[in-house]
Amino acid sequence: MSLNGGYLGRILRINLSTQTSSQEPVEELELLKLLGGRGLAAKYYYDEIGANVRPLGKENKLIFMTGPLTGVRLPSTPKFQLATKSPNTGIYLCANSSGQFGPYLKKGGFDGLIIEGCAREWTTLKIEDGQVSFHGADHLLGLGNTEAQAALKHNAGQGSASALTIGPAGEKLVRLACINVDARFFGRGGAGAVMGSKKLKGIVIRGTGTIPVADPDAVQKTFREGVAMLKVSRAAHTKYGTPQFVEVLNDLGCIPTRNFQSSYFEGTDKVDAHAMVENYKEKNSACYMCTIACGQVNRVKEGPFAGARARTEYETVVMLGPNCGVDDFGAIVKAAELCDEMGIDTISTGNAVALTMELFERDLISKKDTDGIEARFGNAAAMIDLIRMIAEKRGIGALLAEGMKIVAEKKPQWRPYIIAVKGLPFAAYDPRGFHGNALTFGTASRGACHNVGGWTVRHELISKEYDRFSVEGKGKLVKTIQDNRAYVDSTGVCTVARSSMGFTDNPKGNVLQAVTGHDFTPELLAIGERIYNLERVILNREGIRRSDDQLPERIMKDPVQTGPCKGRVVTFEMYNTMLDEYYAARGWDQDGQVKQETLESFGLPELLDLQDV
Amino acid sequence: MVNIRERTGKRQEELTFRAGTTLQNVLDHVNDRYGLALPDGSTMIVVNGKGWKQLANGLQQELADGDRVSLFPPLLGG
Repeated sequence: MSLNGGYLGRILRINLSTQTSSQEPVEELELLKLLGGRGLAAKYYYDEIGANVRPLGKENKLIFMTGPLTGVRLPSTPKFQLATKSPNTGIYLCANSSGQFGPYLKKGGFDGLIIEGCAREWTTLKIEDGQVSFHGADHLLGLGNTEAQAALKHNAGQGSASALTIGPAGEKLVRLACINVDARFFGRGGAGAVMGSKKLKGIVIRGTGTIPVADPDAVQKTFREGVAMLKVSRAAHTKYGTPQFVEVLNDLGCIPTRNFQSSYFEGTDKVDAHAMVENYKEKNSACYMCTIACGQVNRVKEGPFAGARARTEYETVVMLGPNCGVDDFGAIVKAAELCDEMGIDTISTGNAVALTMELFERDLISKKDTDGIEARFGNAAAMIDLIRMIAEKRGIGALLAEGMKIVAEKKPQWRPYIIAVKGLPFAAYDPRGFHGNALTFGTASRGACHNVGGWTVRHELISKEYDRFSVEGKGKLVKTIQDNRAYVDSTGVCTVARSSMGFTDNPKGNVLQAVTGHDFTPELLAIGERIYNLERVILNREGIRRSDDQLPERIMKDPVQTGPCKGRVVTFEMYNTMLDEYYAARGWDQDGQVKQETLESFGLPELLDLQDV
Repeated sequence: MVNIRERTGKRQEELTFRAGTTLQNVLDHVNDRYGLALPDGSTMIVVNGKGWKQLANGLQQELADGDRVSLFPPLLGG
């Protein structure tokens, strides 16, 4: 390849049905057009996972792809991407995670890893510098993620190792199941159930090689300067992590409360970052090559949840706290610990518990449905019990474990209270407080996600152009942020550290050239836009149209009950005005399909065999 | 909030000014009192839920009785 750093130029493919592995080259054109990571994973998904593939069938695959900066000695380069068909939504899923797996995959000689087929018996994989071995996993079944991770790494022998594991929920095919990566997660969309359907409990990996870079001196300079900048600009992240935004977003009237009935929680001072640091914080945790260490590991010292220990992010705190009416941070830590060990997504789980609580309070379900649990908002013990029921598929938990797409199909009378798009529950922002965020959730490639969909909160608050309660300009804004995120997700860099290397709305700097030898920087926004269009081509192939981009009823019809945004809604008309502008900015038709001229303008016909779109 | 709260030791504070006081006047007062240098390029200054750049007169916006000025850490998504 003419690219002379950052990439290894090959991927590893493992077939669980035949217990074989193979190596294959990566096309340079694909790297130049899609960068890596999320873009490359989407391309493999397009080629290999057709519209008729069932998420939990053996034809589905787990496609892991790194970016050119993954594992390189630069600030915060742990990120790698996953593409698979989601058991939660039934459509394309992209997810990113930290941990050390991506860096070790590259140090072992590969840009990506594809897992296909289905094992006959429960299996673990060991990958050591490209040597693959298959092992029985019966002794690991039922173990939580911490124990499973430890066992896999212990058995890997000398030297550092990284592992992917699923918890008991993944084994049981809970459609909210996530994949644990060294205590970080591919969280949303149910990828853990895909792994479970393949009878794959875990993968342990070691890589001892080096990742080539084109200009080592320039890379070292970027590293030094980036670390110095982050030490100052991300100091609050080090001390408080993402939970620092709990107080802020509540103050702005944007925090999901009691299943999105309100967007302001009166008990926030008990669960915000100050309460966390003063009463619960045990230590920081850091990802690969990260000097920010924004992970906040908390331990409950007293009370009914004493002994619980978990890392809590903003999303986790809000969805298991205010959105369930819970103002006990100890209960949130316990709930997060349970989710992490059983292996279920805290956002989707908090959403499912909150739905149950609202149904219970409205007498649409009763104690008969909840196995005797008094499932009212604010009942922390009930929240913990409901999480167990979901993870173990017991009682009403068995239905909730199917994910909101199936819940809505089986219980149409619950639809007014289901807060999801394309079956993926909302993340922890109420669009009635930031209207651009409505479009974020409506048009995110994987369903209602704040990351993939383009996080608008900052722009809507600081920019002169965008009043947060207006609809004008939001289509273009959301498109731009989505494109930004798509290229960042393809580099291998964490979004919290991205600006230290020039990965902003206006990309600058030479780090990609220093690493790969190719000056990607002027092309990054176009690459991001190409990736987003590729993902929409996939979604169109899977039947996604304008009707699938619509908001849940609550956001359009039910005014916020309390707080600074009291009375606000994003009506159907307001939303579809934004959607029209968005489709026009994207070059999609009014039904949300990518136009032929748009495909051509991004060179997608030369990358894809488009006959089956 | 967060680091601002750490530096001031306060979650919120009620201030009394005479009519015609601008946002800049209030920031000057806070800067003097707590050794801050607002606007400092990273702290987000929000008045009644709107960023200061979104106000009709920016830092020269006159404040009214009951207005709420919030000082946020830089917001970073994802």
